[in-house]
Amino acid sequence: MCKSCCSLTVLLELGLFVCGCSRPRPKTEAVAPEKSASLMTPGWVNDEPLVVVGNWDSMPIFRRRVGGSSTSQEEEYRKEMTEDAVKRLKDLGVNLAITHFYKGFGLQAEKEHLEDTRKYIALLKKYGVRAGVYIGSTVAYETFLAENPKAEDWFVPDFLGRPVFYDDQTFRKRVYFMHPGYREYMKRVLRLAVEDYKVDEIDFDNTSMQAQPPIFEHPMAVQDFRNWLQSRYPQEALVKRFGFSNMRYVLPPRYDRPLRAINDPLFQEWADFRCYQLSSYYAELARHIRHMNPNAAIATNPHSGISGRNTVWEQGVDYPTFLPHMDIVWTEEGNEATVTPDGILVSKIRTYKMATSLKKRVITYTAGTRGGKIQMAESMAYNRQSLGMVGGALAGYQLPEDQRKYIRFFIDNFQHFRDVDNVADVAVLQSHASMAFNNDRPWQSAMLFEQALIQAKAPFDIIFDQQLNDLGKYRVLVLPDQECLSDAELDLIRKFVSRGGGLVATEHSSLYTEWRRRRPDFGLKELFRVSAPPLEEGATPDAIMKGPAVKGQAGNGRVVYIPEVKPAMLKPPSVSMTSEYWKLPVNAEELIAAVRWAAGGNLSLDVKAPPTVTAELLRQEKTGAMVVHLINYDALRHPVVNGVVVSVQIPDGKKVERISLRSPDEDKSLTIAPRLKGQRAEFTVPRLSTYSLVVINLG
Amino acid sequence: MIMERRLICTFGCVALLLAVVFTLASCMTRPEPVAPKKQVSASRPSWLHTTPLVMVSNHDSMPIFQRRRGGSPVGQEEEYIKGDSEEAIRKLKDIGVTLVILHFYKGFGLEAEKDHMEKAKQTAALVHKYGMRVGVYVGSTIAYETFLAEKPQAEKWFVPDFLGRPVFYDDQTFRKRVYFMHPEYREYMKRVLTIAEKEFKADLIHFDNTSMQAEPPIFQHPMAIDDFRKFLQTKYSPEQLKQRFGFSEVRYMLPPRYDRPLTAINDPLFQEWTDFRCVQLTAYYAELEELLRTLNPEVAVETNPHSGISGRNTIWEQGVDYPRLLAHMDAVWTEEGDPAGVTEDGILVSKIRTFKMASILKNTLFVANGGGGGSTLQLAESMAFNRQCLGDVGGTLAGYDLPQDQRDYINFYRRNFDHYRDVDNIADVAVLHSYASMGYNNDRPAVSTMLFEQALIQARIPFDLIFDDHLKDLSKYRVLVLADQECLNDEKLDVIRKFVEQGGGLVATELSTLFTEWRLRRPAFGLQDLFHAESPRLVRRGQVAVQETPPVRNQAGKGRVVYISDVKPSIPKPPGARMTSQYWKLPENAKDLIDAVQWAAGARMSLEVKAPPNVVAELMEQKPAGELLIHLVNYGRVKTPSVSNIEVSVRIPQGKKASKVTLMSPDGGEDRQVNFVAKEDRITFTVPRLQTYTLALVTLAPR
Repeated sequence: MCKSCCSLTVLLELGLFVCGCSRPRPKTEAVAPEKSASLMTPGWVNDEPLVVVGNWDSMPIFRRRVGGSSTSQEEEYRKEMTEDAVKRLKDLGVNLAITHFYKGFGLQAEKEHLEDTRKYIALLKKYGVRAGVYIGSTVAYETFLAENPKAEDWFVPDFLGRPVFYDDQTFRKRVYFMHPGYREYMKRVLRLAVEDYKVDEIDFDNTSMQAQPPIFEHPMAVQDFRNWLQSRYPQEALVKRFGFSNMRYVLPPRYDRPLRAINDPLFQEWADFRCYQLSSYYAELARHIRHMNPNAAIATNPHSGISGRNTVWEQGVDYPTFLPHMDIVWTEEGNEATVTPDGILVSKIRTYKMATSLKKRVITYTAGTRGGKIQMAESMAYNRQSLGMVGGALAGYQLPEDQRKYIRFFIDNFQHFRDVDNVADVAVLQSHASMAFNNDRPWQSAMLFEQALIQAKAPFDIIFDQQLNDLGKYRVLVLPDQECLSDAELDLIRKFVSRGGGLVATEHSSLYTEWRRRRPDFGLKELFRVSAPPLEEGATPDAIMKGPAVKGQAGNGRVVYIPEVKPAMLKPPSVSMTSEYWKLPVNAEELIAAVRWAAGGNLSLDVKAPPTVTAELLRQEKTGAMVVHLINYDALRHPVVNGVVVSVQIPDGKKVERISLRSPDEDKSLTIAPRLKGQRAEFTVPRLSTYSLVVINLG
Repeated sequence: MIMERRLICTFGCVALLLAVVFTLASCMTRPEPVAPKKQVSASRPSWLHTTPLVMVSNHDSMPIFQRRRGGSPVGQEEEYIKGDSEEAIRKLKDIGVTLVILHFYKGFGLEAEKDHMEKAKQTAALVHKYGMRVGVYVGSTIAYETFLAEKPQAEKWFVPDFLGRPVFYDDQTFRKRVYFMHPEYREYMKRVLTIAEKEFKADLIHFDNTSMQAEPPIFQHPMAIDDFRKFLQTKYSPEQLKQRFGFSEVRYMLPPRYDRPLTAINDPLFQEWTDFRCVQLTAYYAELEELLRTLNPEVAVETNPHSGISGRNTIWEQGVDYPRLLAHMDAVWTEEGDPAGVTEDGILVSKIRTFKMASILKNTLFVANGGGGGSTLQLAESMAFNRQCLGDVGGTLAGYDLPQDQRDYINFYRRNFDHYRDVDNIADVAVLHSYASMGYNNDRPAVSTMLFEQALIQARIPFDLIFDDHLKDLSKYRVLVLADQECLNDEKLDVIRKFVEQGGGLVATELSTLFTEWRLRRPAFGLQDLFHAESPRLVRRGQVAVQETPPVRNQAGKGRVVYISDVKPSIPKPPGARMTSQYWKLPENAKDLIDAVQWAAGARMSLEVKAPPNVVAELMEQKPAGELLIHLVNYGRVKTPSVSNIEVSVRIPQGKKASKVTLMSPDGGEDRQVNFVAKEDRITFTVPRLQTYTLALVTLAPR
């Protein structure tokens, strides 16, 4: 068991503790795990550059049933399976091909393409390409019921009078995934994949949909919820939580109106319960997989990443509790790296940072028709050892030359992308209760504060509740309207500040408990030196404080309270804080200045470049090298940025030996002469096209 | 015992009917429309050929309905009684009415409706006494509050809630909806029809609510689900099912419970289910038609699918595929709205498409176009584009309240009926409405087809609106228009190729022929060899990007082909919305479209009219009398009450010559002859003044 795995186990437990969760035991909960087993990352994931292709949906049974394909689709499907196509993938640099396996029609119904998959995997192995297989989570009932009539019991009932199916594909029904019959079936599917097909990766899809509210109207889910509440809280605590302790008649909310703040305790508990069940399900499957083959990697697709959607409420996805059992996380959030015509820098940086913070790799569409060089660059800069998905199984025929060049660059320079950790001065907290129980200001302020940090090129991490236990890495903690914090969390923050940490808090941070009950005043009033706005009647949101930012010294630390992160574009109430609202906040400079002041000195990285250039600073422990990634998000309009001045803090006791500049956009690498100023090295990148990698060798 | 035998017989008949329907369907591997059972025109009641149809109706005036629905004026029942009086009926005769459609069966139950049925029977006798024809109203909903008291087992006919909501008629919650193929319901309806024929001696049966019978919620009835599965199994072999769906198992298939706006319909189940609903609705009416013809070969059968060709996807929304449904009908109602006129923003609104649809399918169109809601312009439209029917001019009190100008139109129509009977239109152009293109996409095919037709209407190009079956014989036409007709099977492509090879013109737009009849995208246009245009690229499943390019013209065999990349709407329709009249403004490139048609025709059109774009024209031929008839209608009469000096040029059939040209109009003045100039195979004459309507009669003689 590796060290990081051990600490993650502890963190998970701590996370549940911090959230106020004692571990409940619903009836359908999986058998108690040997936790470590599901948390181990297979060695190959750490050692290989992930360059992925996928063809999970090309098999005829799905294509024909879903309709709307081209008449040549099946011909292409057959071509995908050929040795020539696989050989071309290998030549392209692909190391993982995720192929069709189980879509949900039933193992019998899918027999034909499963046979194709078997042959395909053999070809992949012959050429040294790792094989991943797709596992869907919906049930195509028209064929499935013929094989498993009992599956009727798994299906969720109508929600508010409407059938619950996948998007507009009415033939794919949805199940309560914790139904024992379903879990057993899925284990059978996994056994076939891992033991019989000997796959290297399991790729779970539709994760974002599995714990959506309608799913938990299943009668078994209702019962599980009641049991969960009863196990989670002693009688007295239940009375405190709900006003009564008999949970026998509680029902999950059948409610689909837009929500702003979520104050109803049942809604809150139900959101937590859904997250808990989803994590339990995947923990159980992860153990099952690792038990069969500890070297099989596990990926999952909760779809939305950190993109402004309240995944806890909408999807039952709480990344910090969910991802520990996974190695790789997909995002299909969109947000293709670019600068929009109205000047919004759109990126998946937050999602990459979330995954990195949780020690996971990300796969997303980066090349082929759904990607491009900026997206590939973004993955190189912010992901870990993964270039993402570069196309379908015919990518060997279709991929444009500029994208091939990026793949080659990534592979050729892989030594600079592996075993790295980022250097972050700033931690931005996304606390579970703040973000899950309010769809408005916490999202708006967190996303916009992060946007300011991204565009100011300030090195930062996104952190979650449990990481408050160890803030040793950071110089500044940012609370962007993190309103719901427990007393224990407040104590951790106080301790951080008293030991010299900086704190920047905005709006109503710390005004609420983790149950979203309003405190008489800010929980951190003594640090903010500001009194909270008066309590509003009814459901009216708290007022924004008037006046300027308040700065003050607290113990060894510095604290800044900023009354408001001022949006440049207003998000309508209750809608997701998605990228159309990410324009730099009006007071972005004030936010960055506050961070710099709270840090008490220069940040580890300082880059002088337009705001549409971003930077990420990494460190490679083994070699002692530092790496700076630079990306020009506006490359379409401004193909070249000249004279980017970079200043990097060199760790104590180290000195710069060599600085080299590499880029897939240039033919040659360059050696750059640094200007040394104390423990800082300053240098100029003469020309940035789309992406440049600066390697600083230290001695 | 008798009951049991009857039941056995009923089920036997039902099974036989289903077998016939499904066997017809199974003959095809593609969702082709079921071929009409017979040439309906041949079996039409003879009185329809000889009677100038001028109708009135009082379907809904009986107290049981008016009271239950509520909101009627206090004098309503008095008027109801008056409307059934001998004086009222006599007055109808006096104003020229020839058909009276009476209330008969609304759906409260034969027992509950006994009183007003008795009254209707007396009225029917009066109508017959005055030499008019009697039609009776037959509803398709069930007013369950009374019906169940008579027939408790009807509970089983009702459709279940759809997406958590009860399924009733519009906002009338007392009228439940049934799965019309339920054997007991069909038996009941046959009983109703038998009474209509045997006791009322009805000359016409008017079926109402047809547009609602096969709407999606109806087919959630458990029996409909079972019928659907059987339909699939009969239509396709296991191998074909696999090709269609990816598997051959149909036992667990369920109809889609889905009500989101649809743009393209790619799901094969959605497609098949649409087809199934059309098949079932047609089968139901075929069965009732058969019964009626057996009871009385002279009874006319008419139905009300409501929407006509008005931009609604009746196939998906209503299970109404006109070519199939109307094969069993003599007449068809439209309640689409679209009253003839020109809107404030310059859109010419008409029912011309619906009239043309009915004509090509050998039906007569019924429409309420007289009385308070009607106008002489609407009556003119019916005279120009309908077949032997002026329309519905009011209720049974029309004899008292019909405006004088409409009475004049009725008189004109009846006086000149010889020029309206036994006619056929002359059309140089055929605009295809292919089943799969129009049924499986609510957007571009509907937009482009409606707008191309709008351009033809306003350019007064003689055209027909045709359906898949008509592709088999295109000899009548010089140009075929495919206005984004994207889903055509290989067989149809071959037919079109042959048409072009033999000298036919083709004008195709946008994605025409890019998809198969299952809406699978071909790698390139199916008629790439004719279009010589680059196929649009695939964006994602089922979606393609149209790139605007200049029209491409070329010669292909003896024919001419034009490909146009875009019919450009002046008012864009939102995705998923119906292409109804608020979007019918002449397309931006209307001139390009008309130029293309004229070039593809390779010669002048049979009719050319120089007039403002709000004047429309229709060219007819009456072969027995040797006449050409040019109907001119001024749709813009509100703003332009009179149009002067309209120059008309018409081609004279081979072997004939024009002997005289006579102008007739109900807008005043005597019939008058005008001079004409004959040149080569055409004559030209001028209509000095058009108010609302003028009929130009070209009398032909042997050359």
